[in-house]
Amino acid sequence: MSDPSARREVVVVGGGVSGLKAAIEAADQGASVTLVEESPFLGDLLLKEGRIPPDGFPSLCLSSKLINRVVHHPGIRVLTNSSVKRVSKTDGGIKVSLKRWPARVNEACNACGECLMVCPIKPYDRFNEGLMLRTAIDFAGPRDFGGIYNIEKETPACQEKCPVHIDIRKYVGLIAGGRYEEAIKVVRDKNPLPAVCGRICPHPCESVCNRGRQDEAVAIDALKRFVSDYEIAQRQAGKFVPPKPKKDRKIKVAVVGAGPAGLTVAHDLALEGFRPTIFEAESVPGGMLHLGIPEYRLPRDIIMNDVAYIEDLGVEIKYNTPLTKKFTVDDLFKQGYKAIFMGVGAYEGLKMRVEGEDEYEGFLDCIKFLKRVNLGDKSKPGDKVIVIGGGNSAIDSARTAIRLGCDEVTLLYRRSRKEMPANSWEIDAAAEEGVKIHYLAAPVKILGKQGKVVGMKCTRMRLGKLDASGRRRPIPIEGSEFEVEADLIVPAVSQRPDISFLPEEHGFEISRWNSFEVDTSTGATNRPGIYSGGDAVTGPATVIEAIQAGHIAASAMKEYLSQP
Amino acid sequence: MKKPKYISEFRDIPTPRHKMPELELDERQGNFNEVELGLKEEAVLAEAARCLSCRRCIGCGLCLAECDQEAIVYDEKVSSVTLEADAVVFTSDGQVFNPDRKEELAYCDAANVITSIEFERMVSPAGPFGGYLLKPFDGDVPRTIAFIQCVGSREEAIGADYCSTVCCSRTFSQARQARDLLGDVKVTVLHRGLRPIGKLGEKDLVALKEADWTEFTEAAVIGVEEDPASGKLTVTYAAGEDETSDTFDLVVLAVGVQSMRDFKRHARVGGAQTNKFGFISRNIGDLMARQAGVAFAGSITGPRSDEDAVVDAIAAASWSLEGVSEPWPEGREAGKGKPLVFACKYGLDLAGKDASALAGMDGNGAGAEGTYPFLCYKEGRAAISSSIGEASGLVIAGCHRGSHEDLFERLFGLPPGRVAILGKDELEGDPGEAVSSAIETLSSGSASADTPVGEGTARSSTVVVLGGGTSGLAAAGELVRRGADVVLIEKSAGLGKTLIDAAIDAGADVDKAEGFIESIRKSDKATILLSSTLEAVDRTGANLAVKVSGSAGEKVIEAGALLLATGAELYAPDEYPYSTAGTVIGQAEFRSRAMGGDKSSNTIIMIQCVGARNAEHPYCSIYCCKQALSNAILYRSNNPEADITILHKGIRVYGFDEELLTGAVEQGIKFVEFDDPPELEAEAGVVVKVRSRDGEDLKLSADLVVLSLAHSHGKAQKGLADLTGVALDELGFLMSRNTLSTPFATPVEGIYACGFARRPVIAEDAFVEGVGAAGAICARLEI
Repeated sequence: MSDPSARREVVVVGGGVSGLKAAIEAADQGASVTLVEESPFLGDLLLKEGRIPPDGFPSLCLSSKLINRVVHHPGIRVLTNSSVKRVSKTDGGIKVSLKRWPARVNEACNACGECLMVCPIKPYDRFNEGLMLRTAIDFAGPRDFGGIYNIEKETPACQEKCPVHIDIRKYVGLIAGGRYEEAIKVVRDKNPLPAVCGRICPHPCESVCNRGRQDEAVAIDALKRFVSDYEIAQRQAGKFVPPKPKKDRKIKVAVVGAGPAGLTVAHDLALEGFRPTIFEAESVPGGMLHLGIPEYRLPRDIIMNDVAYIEDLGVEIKYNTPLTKKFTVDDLFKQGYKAIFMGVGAYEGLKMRVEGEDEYEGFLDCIKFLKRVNLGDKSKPGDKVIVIGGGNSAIDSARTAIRLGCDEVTLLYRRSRKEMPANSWEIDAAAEEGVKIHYLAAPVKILGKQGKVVGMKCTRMRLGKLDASGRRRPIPIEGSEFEVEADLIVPAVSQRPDISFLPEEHGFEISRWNSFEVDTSTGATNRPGIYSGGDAVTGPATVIEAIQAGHIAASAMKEYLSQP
Repeated sequence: MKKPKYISEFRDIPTPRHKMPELELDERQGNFNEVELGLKEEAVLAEAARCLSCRRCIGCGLCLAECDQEAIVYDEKVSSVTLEADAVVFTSDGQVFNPDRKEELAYCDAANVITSIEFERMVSPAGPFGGYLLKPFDGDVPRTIAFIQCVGSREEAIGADYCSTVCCSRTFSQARQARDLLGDVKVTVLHRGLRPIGKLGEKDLVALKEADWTEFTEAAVIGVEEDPASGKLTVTYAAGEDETSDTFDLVVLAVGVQSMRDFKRHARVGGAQTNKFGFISRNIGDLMARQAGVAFAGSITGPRSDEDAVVDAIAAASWSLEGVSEPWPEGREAGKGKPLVFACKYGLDLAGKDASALAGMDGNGAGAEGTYPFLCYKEGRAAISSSIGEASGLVIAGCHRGSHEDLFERLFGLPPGRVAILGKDELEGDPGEAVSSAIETLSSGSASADTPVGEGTARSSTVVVLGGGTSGLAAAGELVRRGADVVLIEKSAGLGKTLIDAAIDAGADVDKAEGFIESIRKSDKATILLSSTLEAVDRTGANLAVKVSGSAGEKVIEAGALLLATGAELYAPDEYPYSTAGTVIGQAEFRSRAMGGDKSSNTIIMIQCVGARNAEHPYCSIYCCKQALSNAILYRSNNPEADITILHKGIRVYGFDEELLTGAVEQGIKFVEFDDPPELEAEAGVVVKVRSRDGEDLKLSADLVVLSLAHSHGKAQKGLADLTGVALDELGFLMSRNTLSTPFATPVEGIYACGFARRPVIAEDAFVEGVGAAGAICARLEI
């Protein structure tokens, strides 16, 4: 009994009237009490009350007495901001697992209140039932009973939704305060291609923006673009200081493909002190960014700026150096590269499987078409162009054709506008620029004359039940056929990785869509030390998803390379 | 809370999103120039500001930059903590109903429709309005206020078909407070049957009903509509057959108590059940079969008032403990200097006194300098701390005697008995004199009037429990479990009838109750003296000498504490020809008949509040409506043809017992509400004459009249008070030292009270009272 370690351990859950009183009673009887309360302050509902019951004992006096006794009791430990996750019985005892939300302000706080003066955020004060405002940093609840400052901060919806979880509110807040340099650093913390993403990211963050429920979502992507442009201006003015990587680990890493996934891996590993080398098949960096996305959406100097940043970290890019059947991953290992990232993208256009396909001249897959234009051939490919498909590549192809001076550009999509995967604003722009869009229309047969395409026979479609992709399956309407004249047909159906460069005995697990099979939590392929990600794994997807895959692989590769 | 959690309607809403400037269409021909041109800086700043309406920390870091202390840990992450416990007490204040779910009340749209919790914040002197009651619409003073009761309670449609218990009394306090604050105000309470709580609740209600500034209307509220120009509110309601509309400045929604998601999880750990409303079940069977190491307290078990929650908590604390441990060391020592005088302005205001009445006092000079808005708040604490120095004690004027002494002792390191509190009663006459005499007592070196006798000296581990009813048995069981020696004194020849009856009523296992009693009977720590009575109580040092007489002669027991668990007497009516076997019987007799399968009565009239809620006993006995309803349902289930009419003054069932009322109505049991007690005429059978509240004179004949006889206090209680020296309150209940802080301790050191002896309770609460009192007693024992 005199041994203090023999004290009974009692956990009291809940800091309201009953919880406070139970804690005091148990502690007064010698127990060692831990009082667990979910909110940042004690008192719960009791503390809100200001009325005087008929016995003349006001709620205020009761709450003050109980809280003061608890806070100053040598036998009571108070854990606020804590919620009970699990309670389980053990041998002779009970295990209580708690999740503790950070207060983000520690004991060093002397309650000077300076932070209150500068905090720009004024949420409704929930303790006061929304009758007044508080600041995001404040005493949550009354400050008279050992209350502590507390920053109310949770992961916001936008950050949660972003595949790479950029701290969006932070950089937007910094922008609001005119602090652009710090803002771009916040973006760069998670995104090595901010200038690129500032232009072409489909910004899923904006779709969940709370502000959207009030009027319209904040133009997050445009803000990101502004600060990355600011950075470019700084760089041009010579005021930009590139970051310093960690100590050189003298370990060589090979990255195959300078697309967004590969660039991210190289960027992350270079910062960690590794020596990445990128092997790029083409003469330009960026992969699809450069070859697939037209300049009017993503100017080339923007890509070059983000790439230059990565090169500044010590990343070497070997252009015109594709992997082939004669220059394989095994050769890379032999050259001393300790790990390899396969960021080869998805460049092989899928066939439409339409009668007459491949029979006539005047057929150009969208990737080949865009690549040709993006590598500098700005000649007019034909007078009348049909693009088939509803994705961003289809829209890009159509808008590119318009810019090349084609007289008539028609886009066929077999479902309705609602199902169209392309960004809605791109579809609008295409229509404005003169692209004729036929929804619910699909090719039936390619028409040709003397070996050349002269048009296409199409059919109208209607939508049936939902299919595996969650979209309504299009069904041809019999007898609704019509013909469209054309001398160039650009199929933009879908793409898959082109793995023809792999030797027979490559040993990779490849899916039936020709993509690399990987462990999605690490990006590891079945071959030790070889990782993959981006379109090479997922098929055609967005740049931000490729960056996400790059981060995942880079962090796994770092771990792999750090093993003794 | 009215407002959505994050987005607030600030000046920047609506500010349209800034459109991305684009290259003109005709400029796009024949080139690949970038189409989207990017926002200019001005637009960017405005656009980024739109994000600030998402009112959570945006991580801008401005506070970080300002903080000289470097106290801000910006990226602190969520962490996990694992606690190894011997016992867990789960508690909750519950959560309040969100009236947004009842759109017709216009809560979210109309500024002047507020919840009762918002009202609490407004009138709180520590609240955002500084204690003023204002209309949120225009900041003006409201002159007419309507309280709408049962918002989120007693309503099947929203899944809350139970009474939230606390709201009626809360409304009464709030009505009074509105009157005190505003003076000229008219309060209307729109209710569906009023159910005050606490022993003072009925008196409070009667006084309010008599006041000329209140109006109580039984009504079903149909809707609330706001006049957008003035913010005035038109409330439409059905009262009886009529649909009426009235206009008010402010409408207060008395929001009910709801369960929370966690309750179910916590119940599982404790081996308890949750009811269909998500609260943890707490019938007498559950209380007896409590699992070791887990206890529940407060509104986790259903809506509980503060007083109930405190009782629950003391009981739960006891349940969580085993034996008795050494108290925590606290370095407390008094100096040799003069005692200091401080005053709490809030307390003085409540007592109707001015700080100037204390001016020129001794000690530190008190008066205005020693007066703080709240003495136990930060500022007051700091002031006392900085001046306490060598003071030998504290005189606190304007506080709560019997409650806050230990708080001030511990806050300022004073030993027990070194704080004298002058509450409302003590300040009644000349406050100056009261202060002077308190200073004198403290400076004379002797302890204050309230000093516990023999504190710290060896105390017997024997406890005498007087009364073998529900609370007495619960206390005895708990005391034995904690290791005390118990002498249980029961005046009748048997033990535990009330506990067994309560178990049957609750549908619990009778064996469980019998087993519980048996375990006490068999314990070698318990001595049971049947057919015995208390004769005298004297003091011997730190102990009490309790003299008992019974069949085995007289006996003096040296005890560390005496617990009075004597319950109450059943009212013996002389206004009705009551007998236990005739055609006018009580509920207890009726219950035995019903349980025995009796089918002899076809027309039954029950009369409620016999001996209760009248001038002589101005309080509600609490248990009789519940008993009448369950008896009526039981009888009807055996005799579906029986015609049962309940004559009542407003049915008072609380919490989940609401189910009994809805059940009775569904079964076709009839109800007639009266103001003046019904009269009986004995002819062939019985004829009951009653004037209904609607003014209709009824003559009802019946085979059987069942009287709901009140539990109340009479001669026996008076005798007990004389023997023990424990004073009775105005209603005849044994006084507590303080009902909210030390509910079981009486003003007499070493003597405790629990159960109906100190306040009206139903069986479950009587049981919890017993356990709580046992815990409070263990706190002072050395075992």
